[in-house]
Amino acid sequence: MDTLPSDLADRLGRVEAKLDRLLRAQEAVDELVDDGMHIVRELTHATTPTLLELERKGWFAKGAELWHVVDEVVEGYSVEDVRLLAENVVTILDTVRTITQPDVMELASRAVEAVHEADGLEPVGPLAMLRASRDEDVQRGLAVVVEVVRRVGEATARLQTPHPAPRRVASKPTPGHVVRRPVAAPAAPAATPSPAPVAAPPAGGGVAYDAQGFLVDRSAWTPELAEQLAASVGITLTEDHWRILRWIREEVDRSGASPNVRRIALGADVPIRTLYELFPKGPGKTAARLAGVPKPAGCI
Amino acid sequence: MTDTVPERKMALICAKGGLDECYPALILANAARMSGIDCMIFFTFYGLDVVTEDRVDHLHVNMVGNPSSPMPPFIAGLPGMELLASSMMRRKLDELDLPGPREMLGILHEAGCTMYGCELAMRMFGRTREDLLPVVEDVITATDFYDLTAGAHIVFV
Repeated sequence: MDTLPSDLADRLGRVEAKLDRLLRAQEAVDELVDDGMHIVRELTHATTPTLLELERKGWFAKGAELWHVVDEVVEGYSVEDVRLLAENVVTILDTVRTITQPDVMELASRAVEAVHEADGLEPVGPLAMLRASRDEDVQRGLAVVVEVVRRVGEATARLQTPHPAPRRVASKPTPGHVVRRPVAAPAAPAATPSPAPVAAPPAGGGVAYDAQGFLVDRSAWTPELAEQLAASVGITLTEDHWRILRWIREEVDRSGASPNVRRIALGADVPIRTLYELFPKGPGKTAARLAGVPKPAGCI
Repeated sequence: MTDTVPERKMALICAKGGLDECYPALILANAARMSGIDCMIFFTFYGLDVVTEDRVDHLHVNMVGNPSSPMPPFIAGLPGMELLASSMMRRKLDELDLPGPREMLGILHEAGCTMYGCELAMRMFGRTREDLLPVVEDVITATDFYDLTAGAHIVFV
């Protein structure tokens, strides 16, 4: 343990040397500070009026606010945002270039002028709006506004859809953007109630019938076929029937259209009551079917 | 048309007496008969005009209160507008080769569509059986109507 005092003395000696160095350095610094203070004082004397002037003008307050802005920007944007910014820098520059073109600036300055002169303008009601819409310049302006709105809508729709939407959203509405009513399938054969297996159109040598039992080809008709068809709906053809069937066939040859009940009554000179007696299940349709002509159109 | 089609029966109630308002009932009834469907029409309240001898040829079209009318209401209400609208409608019916109400009723009668007048409406308007067209089968009450229409589709036109 006797080595300790000497060791301690040795360390104390080193510390003293350090302290000595430090003190000397301190003195040097003091001198420097003294000199520096002179300069600072001089500087302060010289700049205070300027600074005061700046303060008076609010530079520092503004500076502090600006710093706030920088702070906000840094806090408000993530690294990801900055990456995106880098990606879009070309677009942004393009946009900036576009909006700083002379004609655009002219447009903006005209708009600003209008705002400045707003004091002299009358408030616009619906009637004044109508009047204004007759002005050619207003019309052109409206067209521009409408176009802008359309493009904004288009861009919005593009943002809302996961995949890049077609360029003209207005003409090609994306799903979910415009609600469309389901359109009825055009000419759906299922829509016409096909009266279940039409009382077995007799196989008269491979003649074709449509879904409702009307002969497809009028020229395929024969009197024998009419007999068979009549029997299938429980009618025994008499001379009265034949007269009407013949008249119907002639009428279709003449006009190209199947006559309805009223026309048959007038044309074949038969009371409507008789027609209903001869063809009880609807004279228009039954007679047309037996005569081998298409189903009569119309409501009467 | 075929025996496999189930028997159907229609009962139409015509409660309005406008030229335009009676046609749906008349056309539907005629279409039913042409399709071999049993059909009757019950004429009640102003619909009674359609089967009244001295009114059937003078049915009018009223454009007031009709939102589908091309005429603005304040014009449709002017004197003479009803006549104008009615004559336009008659001309249109002619163009389409549609029979007038009287002829339609005749066709329906021939076609076997039965037509009834409303007993209460008859008393309300002070009409007698003789005021009605001969095509009208009978004058019945509302309860008679239900007795006659058992199993029918009832359509208020």
